[in-house]
Formats: sequence, structure tokens, C-alpha cells
Amino acid sequence: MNLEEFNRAVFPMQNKLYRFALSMVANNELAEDIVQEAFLKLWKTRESLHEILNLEAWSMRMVKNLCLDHFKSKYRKTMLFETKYEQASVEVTPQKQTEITDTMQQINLILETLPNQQAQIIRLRDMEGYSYKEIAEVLEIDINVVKVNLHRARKAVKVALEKKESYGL
Amino acid sequence: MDYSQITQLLDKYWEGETSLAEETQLKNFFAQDIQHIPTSLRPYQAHFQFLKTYKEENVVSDTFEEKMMAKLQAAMLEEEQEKVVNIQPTISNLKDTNEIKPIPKKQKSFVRQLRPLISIAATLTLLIGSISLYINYEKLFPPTVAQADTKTYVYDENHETQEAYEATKFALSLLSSKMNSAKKHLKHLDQFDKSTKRIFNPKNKKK
Repeated sequence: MNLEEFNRAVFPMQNKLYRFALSMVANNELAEDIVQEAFLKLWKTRESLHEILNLEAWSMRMVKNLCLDHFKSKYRKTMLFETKYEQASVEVTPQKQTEITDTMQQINLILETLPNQQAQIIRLRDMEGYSYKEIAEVLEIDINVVKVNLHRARKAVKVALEKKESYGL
Repeated sequence: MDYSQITQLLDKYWEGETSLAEETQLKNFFAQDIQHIPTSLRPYQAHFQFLKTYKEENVVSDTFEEKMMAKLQAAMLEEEQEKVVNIQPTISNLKDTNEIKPIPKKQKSFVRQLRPLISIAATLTLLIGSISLYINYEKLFPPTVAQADTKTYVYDENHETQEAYEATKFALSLLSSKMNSAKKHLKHLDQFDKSTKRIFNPKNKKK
């Protein structure tokens, strides 16, 4: 596999991988570094990449493991809190932005309060549009665990949304 | 617009039973302006909006690809350098005439091939050696001096005993003849005995 072929196969996944890394490490730069590390790893094994059935799921799993490695090496708890809600768009007008970010942050908070696995599953499913099988592959869990946790996560989100509405928040 | 279908889909969604296509349908529905959405469904719009916006907003930075390409090129350079390092010794070997290299290789492999045979041969040699040593022990190591002496003694036993017997006989006869000649002189002691008896034995006196 030459560089061009590699780029064509790998770069379209960059945003999905980045978001997934970001949901785990909550730091933009670190998330990018992790994705780049994953790409480098893929590059080093480029000769056997064609044997991988689902390159995207494979890469996502790689990112997940790299994130876990990062936490194993140094668990930067303080950094987690500092940078968790810093992600904001600059393209929208300031007024609209505050409105949006308010709601967005509230919804984001709902997802944040979910158990880690449930939040990951709902992100992979609803944001990235992954099938149950792919999610099971990425997170290295049973497909039934995926289904059960997605059900629980969505129920929790629904309850939180209704609560938010009834309290007029 | 038929909202009942959407409501149904939404219920299915919260239960976690929708397919990916149905979920796209829901996402598209909630992507429209809030005015087109019935009030009963409005609370849920934020969730779908969040999913969409979050996805749009959280993308890699503009410099990502640039950085990545730099890293990839660095990795490629490293690989090439590694290749050069790996190739260099083989080139030098090729230059140093082809005859030199294969010979030690072949010798090594030959010795390695023979190694089990050598061990078997060594074991056999040891076994045969020890057996032949055991069989030919007396031929290889003749009896020592002490052993030879005892053997000649045994061989001349009769002759020796005869000689000893004669010698002893002579010694004993000499002893007896000397004893007899000495005994003759002891007869005088009888007189002493008689005289002492007369003194110390009154019965003899009376007689």
C-alpha cells in the first residue's frame, strides 16, 4: 500500500476517530495526537491492512486502546475537568452561539452523567451511525450488552429531557 | 404531516429498537425548524440537534492533515534508513567474493547436522570401549608382583612344607638331645631332695 492509497483509506475516518478520542480524553490536542498515533500505527502495518475486514472499527478500537494507555500512563484528572467543556464553535454569531452552546452543554451534560459505556454507545450509535455489531467490535463487548446499554442510555436521556422541559430549564 | 408515525418511531427509538435508517429519518425530522415540530415533540429536538451540532463542530483542526503528513514522512524516512542499515551488510558481503560467505555457513550447517550423529558415536565408543576393557582386563593388565609371589608359593607349597617339616624335625631333635644331656646333670638334684625329705618328713625319720 503506497502513501496515496493509505491516505485515501485513512483520512476520511479522522473526524470520527477524533470525536471518539475526544469523548475519552476530553482534550482537543491530546485527541488529535492520539488519532495521529493511531494513523502511524496503521501506516506501520499497511502491508496487512487489506486483511482487516472493517478498517474503521479496527481504527476506532485502536484509538480506544491508545486512550486507555494514556490514562494508564498518567491519569490527568485535573486536565479532564479543565478542558471538558471548552469545545465551542467560533463560526456562529456570538449571540446564537451562547444560545446553542447553552442547550448543547445541557445535553452534553446529560450524556456526561451517563455511565461511561452507555455514553460511548450512544455517541457511536447516534452520532457516528454505527451498527450494533460495529459498536460491539469497537468496544470489545457482546452485541447484547450494546443493545441493553443503548436502551438504558436512551431511556436516561429521555427522562432527562422531559425533566428539563417540565422544570423549564 | 403525519406525526403519529414520527411519534411511533420516537417511542421505538427511546426503547432502543430503531434501525439505522429509522434513526436517520428521525434525525432529518428534528433537523427542521422548531416551528414545524409539534409541541409535544419539541423537548426531544435538543437531543437530535446536539448530536448533529456536536458532530459538525468537533472535527480535527486545520493543521491536522499537515501534521499527520509530516509525521508519516518522518516515519517513511526512518523506515528507509532502517532499510539502508539492513541492506548495507549484505552488499558488503556480496562484494567480498561469494566463496567466502557460503563456506562458513555450510560448515556450520554441516556440524549442526552431524551433532546428533556425533553424540551417538561417542556413546557407542564409550560402550564398546568399556565392554572390551572388561573382557580383556587380564590381558591388558598382567598380575602384579605381590600377586605373582602368592601364586609361586601356592605352586611350590608341597616342596616348602616338606622343607619346613624337615627343618622343624631337625630343630626339635636337636632340642631333645640337648634336653637329654642337660637332664643327666639334673640327677644330682635327687640327692638334695632326699636329704630335705629326711629333715622335713618325721615319718621317714622313724622308719
